[in-house]
Amino acid sequence: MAKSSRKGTTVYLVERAACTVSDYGGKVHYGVSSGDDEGGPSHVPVRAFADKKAAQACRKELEAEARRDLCPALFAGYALPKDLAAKLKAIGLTSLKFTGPDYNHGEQLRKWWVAHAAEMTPQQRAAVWDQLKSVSFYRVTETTLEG
Amino acid sequence: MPKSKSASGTHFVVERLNWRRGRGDTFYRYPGQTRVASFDTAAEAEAFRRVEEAKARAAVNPFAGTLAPPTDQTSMPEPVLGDWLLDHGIDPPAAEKKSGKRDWVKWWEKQSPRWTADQRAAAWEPLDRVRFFRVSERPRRPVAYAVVQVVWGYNDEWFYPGAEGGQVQTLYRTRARAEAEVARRNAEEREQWAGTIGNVGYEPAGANQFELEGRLLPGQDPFGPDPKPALADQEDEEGDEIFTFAPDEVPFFEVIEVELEGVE
Repeated sequence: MAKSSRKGTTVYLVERAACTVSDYGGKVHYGVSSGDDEGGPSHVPVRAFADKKAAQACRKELEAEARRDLCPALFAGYALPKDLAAKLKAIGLTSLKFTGPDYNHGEQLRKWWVAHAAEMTPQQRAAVWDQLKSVSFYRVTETTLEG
Repeated sequence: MPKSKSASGTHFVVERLNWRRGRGDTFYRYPGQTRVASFDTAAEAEAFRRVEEAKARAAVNPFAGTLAPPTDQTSMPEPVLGDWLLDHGIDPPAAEKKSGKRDWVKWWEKQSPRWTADQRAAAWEPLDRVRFFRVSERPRRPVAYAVVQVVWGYNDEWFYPGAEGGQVQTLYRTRARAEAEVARRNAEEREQWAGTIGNVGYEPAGANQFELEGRLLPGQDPFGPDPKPALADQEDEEGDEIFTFAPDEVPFFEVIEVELEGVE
């Protein structure tokens, strides 16, 4: 239930993080706005709820929708989970081998994705997303709706 | 599939999926969508969606800006897509001899301007993973208006904004209050900038210190032409084209509409 005062009503805002793309030499790479950006991160307010749990459920639903729509490899940064290749092998995705220094692994994942995207099931695709835990598109914040 | 007429308390909402232009006719799909219109019937909403979808299709190379074309564009296997195109009088891209790969991006860029309207429609038809608008039946809900501060960074040459949105300042129940607040705060911000121009940024560009880097201006159609600064047909003091914007041409605060759920 929303708390109201003379100042206004407390609501829970679902916000989407702004994303950017760099595309140099045909190497497409997506990034999510973070606190490291100069001036701070940018977010787009999407929906406001009186109930925090409802806001969190909406956030979860929108996050899942974004993951269905977008390719996880586009968001692979320099630092990938150490055991990523082993975890993907466990769900039937083979032949991903990382070599050399960590900063090359994101590009190696993208190349692997290009080679295997056509044969991947929606479940496997979702499983790849599950491994990229640091990528998150939505958040819930508390704010005031002025009366 | 939306029902033909809305149930009591619902309407048909057309949303634009979050596409933004990169370079040339390369567009990128980002997470999320924006509500652009709502209608009482599915037919009205669908008619609106078709018109907007067609405008977007005219602007976009569907294969550009993705990792694994044509898998990113269609659920058809590549050879089946090739056969589909041949059946509609379109030669698909040839496979490279060594790699066997087909360059779908360049093929679309070179070939699509020569196609008839029917061929173009046929080429788009199997691309079920590339959509720009969608219709959904949704409950009619009240909305609020967020005043959002645009985050401007500095790259040692220009000021550049966050890709979209910014930092929410306040939520208002009426658009009029939010718009008034945004107008007031934009005016304050521009006055401050007027006092600093000449002391910051790339001096030859004068007041034009703001590069949009693909951010949409409020109300801008992402599939339309890029906005141009008022001084676009002039040169800066170094003789270079002016592509950056002045403080009165860019937003420092914006209004963004949000649906309210469970709030009286």
